[in-house]
Amino acid sequence: MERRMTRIGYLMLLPSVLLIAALIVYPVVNTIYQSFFEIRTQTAALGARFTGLDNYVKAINDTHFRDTLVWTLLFTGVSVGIELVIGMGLALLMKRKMPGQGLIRTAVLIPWAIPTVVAGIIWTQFFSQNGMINYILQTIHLIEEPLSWLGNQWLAKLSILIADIWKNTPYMSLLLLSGLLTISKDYYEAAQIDGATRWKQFTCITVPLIRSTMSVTVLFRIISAMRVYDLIVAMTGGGPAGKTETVSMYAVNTYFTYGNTGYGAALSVLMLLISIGISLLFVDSLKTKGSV
Amino acid sequence: MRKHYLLTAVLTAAMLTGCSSSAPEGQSQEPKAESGAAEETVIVNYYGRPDDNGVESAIVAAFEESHPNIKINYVELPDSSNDRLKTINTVLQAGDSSIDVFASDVTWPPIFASAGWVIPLDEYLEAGELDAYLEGPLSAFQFRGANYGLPFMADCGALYYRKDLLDKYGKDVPETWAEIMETGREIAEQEGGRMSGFVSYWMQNESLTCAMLEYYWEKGGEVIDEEGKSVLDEALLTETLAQMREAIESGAAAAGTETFGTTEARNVVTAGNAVFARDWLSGYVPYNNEETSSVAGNMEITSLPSFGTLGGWGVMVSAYSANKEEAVEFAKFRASEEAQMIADDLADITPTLKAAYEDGPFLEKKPDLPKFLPVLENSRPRPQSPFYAEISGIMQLEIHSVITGMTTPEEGAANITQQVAQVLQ
Repeated sequence: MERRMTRIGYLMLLPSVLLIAALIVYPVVNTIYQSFFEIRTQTAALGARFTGLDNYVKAINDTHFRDTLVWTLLFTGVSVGIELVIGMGLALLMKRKMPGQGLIRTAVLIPWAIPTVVAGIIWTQFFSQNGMINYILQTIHLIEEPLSWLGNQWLAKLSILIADIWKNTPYMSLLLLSGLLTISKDYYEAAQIDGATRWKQFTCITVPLIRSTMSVTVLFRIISAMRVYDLIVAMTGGGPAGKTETVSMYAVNTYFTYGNTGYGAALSVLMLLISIGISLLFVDSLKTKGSV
Repeated sequence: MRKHYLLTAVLTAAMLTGCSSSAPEGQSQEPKAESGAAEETVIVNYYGRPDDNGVESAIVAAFEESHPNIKINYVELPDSSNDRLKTINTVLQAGDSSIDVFASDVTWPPIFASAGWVIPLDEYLEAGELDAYLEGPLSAFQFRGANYGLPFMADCGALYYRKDLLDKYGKDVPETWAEIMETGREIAEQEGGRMSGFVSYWMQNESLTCAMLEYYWEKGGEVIDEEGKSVLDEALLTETLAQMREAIESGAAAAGTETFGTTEARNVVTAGNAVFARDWLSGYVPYNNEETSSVAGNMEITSLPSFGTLGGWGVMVSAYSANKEEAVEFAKFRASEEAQMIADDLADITPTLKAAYEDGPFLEKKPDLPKFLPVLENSRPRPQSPFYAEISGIMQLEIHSVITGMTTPEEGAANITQQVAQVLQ
């Protein structure tokens, strides 16, 4: 009887397993397989040629790949770090009882709800030579001549970071807020009786208790920041001179636009490995210090 | 990441097979019931441009009306040209027959033709049928002596100039790039204010490669030979890059030109702040629209020095199609005068047929059309190499690096020459 139930259980799982296999396992395995071959759209008629690890060796020696990787990691670190701090601040603010709380929580979500490409276009207009940012800075006499925000590599990186932080902080703050709401008030009352300061309450109660929520939130954001694509395509197209091109953009260009399937696959696999590596760090921290 | 695209591709494929298997059941019965004829309805899958202003669906409807045996299953491609290439690429790479005929950018034919994914149309065409098309737009679909597609929408690089300002200062329309910058700077200095001599969109994208090629061709430079090998001339390339950088640094080009996309550059023109502009034919209408442009009626169009780069779209037929004959039938219709007229009624297009510029309904509707003809005749396709996208990627990065002052013209030219040779070896 019990065995039959188990079998039915597995059978019921089958559709989702098949779906996962078709949509996730197959593409991943196929990408890994392709990465060991020299395959080009342009010479597809001639077939693929097995080249072993050549594509990976090429990637490691590819200075442009290294540049894009450094920028992707820098982008991820800076944007997620700042989003965490601002997001935490916003979450603490939203947790307070105040008039119009619902309205504020909705309003904060707006940047996150706007499609990324649209947000990218809006920010491009703001940062353009004759855009609003230059106009404001000139009006308050911070600068004399308009700055070339998207033409200078550091300013372009800064512009992209600002746009991304604006776009994704709401997501962060909302998830953190949900974590904050699960903390029982009793802890704070007890701390207050013991005479703990607000800062002490924050570091000794709030932070440890939402650590697991925070880890998950940060992990989600890191994974999505690592594969940033649409925002930068809309804002700079990877310019100036490819300095804001991310690994995903390089991989997509190589694989699809240039038709260099094998090498593009190898770049994707490398990116996958790095993402998995970073995720593992977090999974570990979730296990050991997570639940209270 | 890639996973993402494959996922979309798989989903699209799933939806497509879903459509094509369910569609015949519903549709094939109707004609049988009506006519009782033995002829079966054939379904042709057409991957077309996005249905802006309902252009594609109107053309499909007109075709189905005149060809009762063929049903067109029109699939809208994504909005950006590169995403469209990705979608078609994914399906054809798998040798899938779910695409019969598709809309193609002028830079794609060499890619698909050399991969063997599209068929030459020559055996389906009658003698002289191709003579109806303008040579420039048609040449983009010719590869290694065969015709792989028919153009249905023309575009190319053009020079726009402020007629009123040239008249005011007694200047002729310039015939070289050096003259354009020189005249522009002179007039801008005398006009003062926010006026600049020249504007274009030189952000790091495909238009930047086109802009560079237009300079480079003027000097007699070539990119590839007939065998598809690189024949880049490093000295001419250095000169070209130096000239482009000079345009930015001397202030002849509007400040920020190296960061402008289409919208930002066009805003400078329509605000009346540029003497010259390099834009596509599609700039003519917005520049001369009285409601949105302060220079309407004064923005004249002419050919660029030497050549303008050819743009535009056409149709190609998949080698994996199960209904090639019907697919070609639709391709011919998509590029016919009737279809181009439908497209022009709903959205503004530039026709690819010679007759449209001589008489008939097109000319009645667009009296300015003959102005475009010399510009189009003066255009040429980008290097017809299957590896063009990669070459252009290399060029974009290096050109942008030079014009934003990160590398010197010499370094840029050396990098381009070396990397392009590597790709084409």
